[in-house]
Amino acid sequence: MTFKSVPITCYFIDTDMPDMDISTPIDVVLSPAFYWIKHVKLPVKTLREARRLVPALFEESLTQGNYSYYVERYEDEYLAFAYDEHAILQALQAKGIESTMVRRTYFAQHVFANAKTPFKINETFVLSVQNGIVLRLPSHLIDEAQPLQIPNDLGRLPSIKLSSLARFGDTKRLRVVMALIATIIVLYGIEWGLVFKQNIQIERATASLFEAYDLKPTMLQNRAMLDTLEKLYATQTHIRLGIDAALNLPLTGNEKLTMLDLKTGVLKVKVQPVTSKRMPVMTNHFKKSGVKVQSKQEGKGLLLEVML
Amino acid sequence: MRSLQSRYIIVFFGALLMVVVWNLHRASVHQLQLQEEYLHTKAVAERLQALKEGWSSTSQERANLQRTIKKVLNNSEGVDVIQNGGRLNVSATRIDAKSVERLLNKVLNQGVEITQLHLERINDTSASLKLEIAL
Repeated sequence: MTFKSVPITCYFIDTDMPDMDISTPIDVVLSPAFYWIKHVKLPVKTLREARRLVPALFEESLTQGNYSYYVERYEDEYLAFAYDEHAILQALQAKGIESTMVRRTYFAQHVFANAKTPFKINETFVLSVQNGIVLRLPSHLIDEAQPLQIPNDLGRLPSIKLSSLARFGDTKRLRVVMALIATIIVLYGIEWGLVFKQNIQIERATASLFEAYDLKPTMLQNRAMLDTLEKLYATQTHIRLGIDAALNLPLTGNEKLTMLDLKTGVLKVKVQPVTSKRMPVMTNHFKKSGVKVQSKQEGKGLLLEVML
Repeated sequence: MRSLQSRYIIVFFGALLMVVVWNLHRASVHQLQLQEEYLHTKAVAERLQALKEGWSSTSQERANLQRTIKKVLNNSEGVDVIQNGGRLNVSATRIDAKSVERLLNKVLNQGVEITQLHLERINDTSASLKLEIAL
C-alpha cells in the first residue's frame, strides 16, 4: 500500500470576496480585516507571561465579541494578535466554506511580512507592509500593487486552529447546550442514586436470607453442606428404590428372595433358585425401577448388586 | 477569554457527564451481580431448607420411631434395639415376614438415613434382621 500526500490548496480570505464552493480540505490566510495586531514591548521575559498580559492590551480597542489571542516574539518585543473565532467562522460559512474543511489558518502577517511590494486584494483594497506590519489599505493610497500571490511553502509558518467549539461563542446557544447537558447529568445522577439505593436494598435482602434460613456465614460452607445433603438424598433415594424393587421382584415357582444386604456403597439381593431364562427378567425388573444393577450367577441362585 | 472559558465549561460538563455515566454503568453492572447473588443464595437456602426438613427429625419423631420399631418387633425373637449416639441399631434373630414388611414400610417412608441393612431368609415365614439407621 502506498500513501500519497494530497496537495492542500491555500486561499486568501477577506471580508470582501466572492462566494466559494469548497469540497476538499483547504488552508486559509486571514486578511488583516479578521484580526487586530499590536506591536508592543512588554516587561516580561517569557511568552507564557506575555500571553497573560495580551487580553489587557486589547481591552479598550476591541469591539464586542469573544476574542482569542496569539502572541509571538518579534525581535526584542512582542507581536500580539486578537481574533474572534466565531466571527471568522461565520464569515467563512457565509462565503461557502465549512469550518470542518479548514485545516490550517494563517495570519496574513506571517505570510506576507517579507513581501517587497504591495498585493492587490480586490479593486478597493491592497495588502501592504508598513514598519513590518501587514496592513489592509484602500487601493487609492498605494500607487502600484501586484496581483495577490500566496507563497507555496507555508508549512513552517505559525498557524492557529479554529476550534469548532468557537461556534458556541453565541452565549444564548451555549446556555441552551449547557442546560441540556446539565439536565442529562441531573437525570443520570438521579438514576445513579436510585440504582445505588436499590443495590443497598438487594444487599440487605441477601443478608436477611442468611438469618431467615439460618445459613452458615459463607456461601462456600452453605454450598458444601448442600452438596453433602444432595449426595445423601440421591443415595438414600437410590437405596429405597433398590429395596422396593427387591421386595417386589416378580418371583415364580420356587424362586425365593433369600438375602437383602446393604453395606457402604452397595445393595446386594440374592434370589434362589433361578433358571438362566429367568435371570434377564430379574435384571430388567430393576432397570425398569430406575436402578442400575449388575447380576452374577452364584450356584443355583442369582446375586444382584445395586451400586449406590 | 470568554470563548476559552466556554470551552473549559463544556469540557468540564462533558467530563462530569462521563463520570456520572461511567458510575451509573458500574452501579448497573454491580446491581446485576447482586441480583444474581441474591437469587443464587435464595435458591441454595430454599434447597437446603427442603433437604434439612426431609432428612432431619425432631427428638419426638426419633422417640416415636424407636417406639414403633419396638412395637413391630414385639413378637420377634432375639430382639436388640440400641441407640448409640446418633445411630439406632436394631437386630432380631427371628422375625416374621409380616413384621419385616411393616418395619421396612415404616423405615423407608421416614426421612432417616439407612446406613446398614441385612435381611436373611430362615424359612418361608421368618428371617433374621440387622438394621442401622442414622437419626
